[in-house]
Amino acid sequence: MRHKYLEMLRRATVAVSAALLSCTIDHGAAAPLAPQNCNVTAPDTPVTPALLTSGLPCKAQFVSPFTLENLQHGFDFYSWLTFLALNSPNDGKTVIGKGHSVAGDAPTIWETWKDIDSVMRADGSPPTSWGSPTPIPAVCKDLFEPGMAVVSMVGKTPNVLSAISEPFKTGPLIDQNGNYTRFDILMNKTMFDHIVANQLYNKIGQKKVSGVVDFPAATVPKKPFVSKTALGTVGSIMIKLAWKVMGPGDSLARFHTLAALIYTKPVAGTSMSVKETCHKATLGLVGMHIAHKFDSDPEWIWSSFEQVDNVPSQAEVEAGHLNAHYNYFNPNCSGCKVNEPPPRPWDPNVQPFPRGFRSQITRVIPLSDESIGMSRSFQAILRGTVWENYMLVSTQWPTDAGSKTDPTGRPAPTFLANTTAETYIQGTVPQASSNCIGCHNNATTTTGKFSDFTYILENAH
Amino acid sequence: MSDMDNFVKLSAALTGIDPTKLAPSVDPINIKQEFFDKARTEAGPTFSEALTVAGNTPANTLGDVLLNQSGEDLRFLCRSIMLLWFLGQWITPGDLKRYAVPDPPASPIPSLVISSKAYTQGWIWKVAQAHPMGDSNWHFGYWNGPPPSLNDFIGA
Amino acid sequence: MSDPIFDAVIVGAGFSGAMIAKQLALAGKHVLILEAGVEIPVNVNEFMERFYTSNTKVEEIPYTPPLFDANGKLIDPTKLNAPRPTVLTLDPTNWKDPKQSYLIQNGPLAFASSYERIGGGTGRHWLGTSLRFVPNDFKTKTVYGQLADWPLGYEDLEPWYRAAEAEIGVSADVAAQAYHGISFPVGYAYPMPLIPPSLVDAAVAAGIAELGIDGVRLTVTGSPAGRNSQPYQNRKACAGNTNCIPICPIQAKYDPSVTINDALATGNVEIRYRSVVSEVIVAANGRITSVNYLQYQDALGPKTAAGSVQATVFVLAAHAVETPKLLLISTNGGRTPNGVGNSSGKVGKNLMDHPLYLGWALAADPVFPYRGPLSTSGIENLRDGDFRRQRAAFRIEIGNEGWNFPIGDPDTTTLDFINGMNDSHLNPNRSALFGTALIDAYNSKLSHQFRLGVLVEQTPEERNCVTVAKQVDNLGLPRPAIQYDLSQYTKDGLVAAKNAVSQIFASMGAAEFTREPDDNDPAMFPVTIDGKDTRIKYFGSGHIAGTHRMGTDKHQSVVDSAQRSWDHPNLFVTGSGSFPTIATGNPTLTLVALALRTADAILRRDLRA
Repeated sequence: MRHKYLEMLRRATVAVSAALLSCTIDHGAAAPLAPQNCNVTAPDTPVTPALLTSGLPCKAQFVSPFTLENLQHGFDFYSWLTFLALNSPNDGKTVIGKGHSVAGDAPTIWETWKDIDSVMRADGSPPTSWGSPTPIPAVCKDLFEPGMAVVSMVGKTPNVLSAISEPFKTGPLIDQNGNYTRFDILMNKTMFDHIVANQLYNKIGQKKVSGVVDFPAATVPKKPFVSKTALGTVGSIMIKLAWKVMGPGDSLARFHTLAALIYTKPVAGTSMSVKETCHKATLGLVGMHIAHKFDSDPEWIWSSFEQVDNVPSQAEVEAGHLNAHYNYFNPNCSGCKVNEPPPRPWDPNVQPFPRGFRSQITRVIPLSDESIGMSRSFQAILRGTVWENYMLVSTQWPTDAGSKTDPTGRPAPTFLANTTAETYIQGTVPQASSNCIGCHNNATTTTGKFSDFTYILENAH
Repeated sequence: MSDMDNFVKLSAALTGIDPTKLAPSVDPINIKQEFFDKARTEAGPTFSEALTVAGNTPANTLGDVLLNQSGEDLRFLCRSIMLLWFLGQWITPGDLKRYAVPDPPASPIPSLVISSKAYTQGWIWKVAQAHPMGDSNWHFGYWNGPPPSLNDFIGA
Repeated sequence: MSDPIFDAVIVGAGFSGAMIAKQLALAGKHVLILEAGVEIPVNVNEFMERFYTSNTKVEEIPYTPPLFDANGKLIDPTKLNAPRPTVLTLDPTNWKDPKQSYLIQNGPLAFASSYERIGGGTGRHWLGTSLRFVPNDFKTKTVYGQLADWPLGYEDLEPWYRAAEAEIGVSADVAAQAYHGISFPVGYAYPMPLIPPSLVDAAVAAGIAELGIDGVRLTVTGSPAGRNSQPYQNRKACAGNTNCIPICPIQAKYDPSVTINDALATGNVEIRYRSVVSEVIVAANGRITSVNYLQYQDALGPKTAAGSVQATVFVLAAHAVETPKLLLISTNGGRTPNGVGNSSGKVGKNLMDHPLYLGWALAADPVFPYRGPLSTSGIENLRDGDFRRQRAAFRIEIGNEGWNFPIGDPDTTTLDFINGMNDSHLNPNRSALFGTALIDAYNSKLSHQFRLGVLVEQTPEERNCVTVAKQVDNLGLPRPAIQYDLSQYTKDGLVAAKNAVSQIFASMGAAEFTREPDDNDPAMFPVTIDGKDTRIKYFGSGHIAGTHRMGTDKHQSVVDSAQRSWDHPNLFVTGSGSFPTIATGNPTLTLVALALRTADAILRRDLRA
């Protein structure tokens, strides 16, 4: 009852502020950038609604002195601008949060990007061209409506349910309604074009690679602060998304949502047989990883965001400072094992998860005060939209980019985990605990060649 | 110069590793603090003395002054500090003294790895142009070719 | 609610148990695994943290039950549930002390290997080497008049070797592996390409180019390994963490937790951890009807429950010390006073290891050790040959980890040059260095270090055995007692190994630093070589075999070639304990091949649909 009232209040607020903001939409805001362009924005720019249209950054900027704290701040600021730019509506002109759906939601720019299954196709055939639709599985055809996404992953790695899974790294994440969390991996056109041009989308092509795999990096605009219109070109960007099936207790106003077909891939002949199915669902975004390659940072820059209701921190649990509701934690459960995957077998066709299992997840590494503060500033300019319900976990960046003696470039922070995607490997143990660059540093093509920090290529057939 | 600056100075002089490598200006790991704290906790007064000597002695003679011209307490504490940097292990100055004899005890010298971070930040592996066993950031197949140079690892 | 009668109850969640469980489960059979140790963890944070912070990085260290108490003292095994042996109790002061050594070692020599009791088993800490045995290994009695014949041959096992290679994910080169009669079907390729050789391998290969030993030219061959050279089974390619033993932090090395999880994924397998099987129960008609087990919660805590489960088929897979011990303590109220499945009297007998000879040296030029997997290549030329009439065969494993195995480097050398000591023998002047001089000393020594480990074939002998000790563990279960010695045949093999290693070093222009063991070392034997008295030390390879050997004659063996007990038709006793001989190859691939063959036998006959 109380929840519904707040919902109505929120919608009223959105209507009002939309009206207000529409008067200010042209104030100092740049024209939206073409998809291949990016720019730079000073990190001490005040966080006002003007930033909503600041555009995708090609680079992070920093205030001096260049201490660890100031550098982290610059990268976190870059992450927020990137979040705003990529989640802007894909009509190319509407401001983020001013869309026509609930709480200003709208389909985002990346919803037109190619996903991993469209690129690393099961038969090894070349992907269809950018912008053209990807064939959808036969079992989904009758259900498909234009604009729907087809989402198939149930773990952060595409084949977590295939013959042999990673026992100690991944496992499904089950929400409070007993539904599997769904994942997707998408890439921008820059990255897509490189894969196609170099035939990296299938095993045969990967065998032919003689030199190094080197995805294009962002180029920086010349003299960015002299000419306001100076633009750079976007580098390779890959994103990983975590989705929750919207269900009882989930408000459409608190999540970016989309209509999707949940396609469960068949797993036959080996460990378990999972039937091929397809069904409709409304999905709500709960986690977003963004990796963007800069020419100054060959280790890429890794930004991670979560929906604010996901989990409490371990410290909050110990202190008893809990909210009434979380996406992946039940404050009233005593005896629930924390941060453990569900018992096997895992069959996404069986939902709710059997025997009442629900994932009980906490955040192990607390958010820094700096990132909490910055999230608050950006949430303020997103007030009344779905997007105010997202927060930055952190940004990981190489402190010694291009190091000759450490291929990870000695990242800061040392450890980083998104509770939706690195749920079960949170911690601070070297090599074992989640760390974007450290883990992606082990990524290779199907032939074992270092793949420039992306696991996308190992999924080639 | 601060206590930490002097600690870095003496550590560089003793270990032979460039101070900008022991203490990079942008340092998310900050192992120097862990070693500083350990040495101070274990050997407070002698440690302060070592820092004072470091503050008053030029870098190019500091190693010799600390190890050979400042008495046994400083000698063995400095050796303990060197072992922190190279191995991430604490071996007490007292034990080092007991074992620095022609006929040392047969049993292994007591030692304590002070943390997983300290082990993985140990410098002996870099001096060997390798990596700590159990902690490699290298790519598949790297062992088939030569490593970066010693100077790449420890030089300025 | 009480348990159903399972199709199969499997004792032990290691290599053998995991492989059989998975095959039965894929065929829709209802399987229960009882594992004495603790659960496969969600991640390896705890294992790695324990490894990193230990000052003694032996193979057991990441795992549980804990070895040390809060004061750093070895915990008395009497106080532990499901205790396990450790190589830390092989000192003159502790190898015969039951308050420190879990195994009751009765000598005369020390049994020098250890094993795990944990989800995934000893396979959690294995190196990964996945060699096939050579054809003559299966028929040494016939061919050389030595050792024993197996009840099956290479050709019988060949298809199962391929199945094992697929399950584990073995990286190797078929052409390079076709030596000593090893053959493959035309067109066969290993699941993954060979792991690239190391600089150490290249130096050894260059150095032995002109070397022959006993008329045999020596060559360096890449080792087949359960180690990914590309992504496989959703696991990463090797990043050369140089830590295979005791644990690969990124699971590029296969371990049985992969297969356990596959088995669980079918929905047909239940696994009960912290469940120690205490007796195998036999009915009057000779069928096994059930096993009893005890459960605990904490490693040092009390027994918390007891249980019993029934099944159509029972599989023992608790490795080659705990499995025979279990059979021997299963006296069924006096009805089976010699244990279960022991009409031959061979249960526990013919205990074997690969006694490992270790030699170490400084190469003439830098070889940059401490990089890559622990081992990428070996010298396999001496695994077979006419000399097996006289002395044990062996294989030579080239190590990439410098002097870590022989002297605990780089720690030892690091301490030597700082504190003016000479434990490494690299600092004869006992110099205490600092600064540039110290860096130069370290780099010049460490970068040249390498070692060779020689796995020697041990003779099966009945005097080498596992029996039941009077000492017990915290659950009141008897501990294993060990009698162990080396035959002249094996000792002669070790002497030949020592000579081979020295010749290899000399041929390479390397300076040998191998030392003689002390005269009170429990794992050494005195020998006279070329008129000179010396002592040879052996290490355990962690390869335990022979204690429930297979054969053709039920009076001379415990199981048949399918690992089925001669005495009890629904009992399978599996693992390297079934090996009649230990040959020269690391045992894992062969025991996995046998396990898969056993699973097939069970599905064809005992659990036919």
